[in-house]
Amino acid sequence: MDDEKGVKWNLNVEANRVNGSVIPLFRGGLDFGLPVGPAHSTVWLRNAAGIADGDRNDLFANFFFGGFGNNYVDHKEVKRYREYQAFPGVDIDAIGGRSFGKSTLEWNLPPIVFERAGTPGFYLTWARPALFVGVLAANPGAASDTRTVENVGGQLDFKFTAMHRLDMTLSFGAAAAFEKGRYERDEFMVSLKVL
Amino acid sequence: MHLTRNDADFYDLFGPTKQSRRGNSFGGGYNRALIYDKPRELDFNFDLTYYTNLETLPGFQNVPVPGGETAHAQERADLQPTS
Repeated sequence: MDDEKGVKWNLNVEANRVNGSVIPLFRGGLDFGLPVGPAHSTVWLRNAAGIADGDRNDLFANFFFGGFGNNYVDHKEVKRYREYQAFPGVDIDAIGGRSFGKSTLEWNLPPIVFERAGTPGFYLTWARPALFVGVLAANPGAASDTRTVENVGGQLDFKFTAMHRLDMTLSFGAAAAFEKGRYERDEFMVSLKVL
Repeated sequence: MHLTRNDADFYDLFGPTKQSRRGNSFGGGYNRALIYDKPRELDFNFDLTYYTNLETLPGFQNVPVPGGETAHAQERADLQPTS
């Protein structure tokens, strides 16, 4: 189950040494969560920022963002849109910048618990919806290369058990991205987390 | 420690996210839980990896490598949720 309140942070220092030159990249994240409204309804504000020291045109000195991040069949975390490099609504790695700031406001609605859905060998346990809005600024403060992209979307996860003991999660997601106040594109995600 | 050549991942068959990377890598890592008193957690991770002949950046599948040789060091610290 998800955490319902708290503070989560991370610091990341990375160095790429390419052709003798060292390019440091610094990144951090700070998330706040608290329960809101009915039981098991939580709101999280997830923030990330980073900066690299290097030529803006050097790909090794850039961060890239985009996509939900889930595969159609997957084995990793279900809510991958929470990761710093995810940005649902645009293609994977479609947005890059030598520095960035990103915030996502996420509302995890109370789960719907199923008591009689399926058979003893194959049954639904719960469904949990989540909604989010986000903003990503790439190269903030730069005169010409600044990009600010917003997104809005949601994800619905169905937890079910197959063959009495194999837990799986079927997820559906959708998001739309906007830039300069205009609709840019959208993304749909279907993913089955196995084992 | 790890040594890979054209490292592959089964779940890449079900795209769009790719973990596989064409190229070679050699490296190692060190992970330590500095605090493990749930719900308080603090982890320290350190990785140092040397790559050659990569086609795309190690962390970004759609960004081609302009050169082809990278040494890559990474440190990370995480504190998990506190209630």
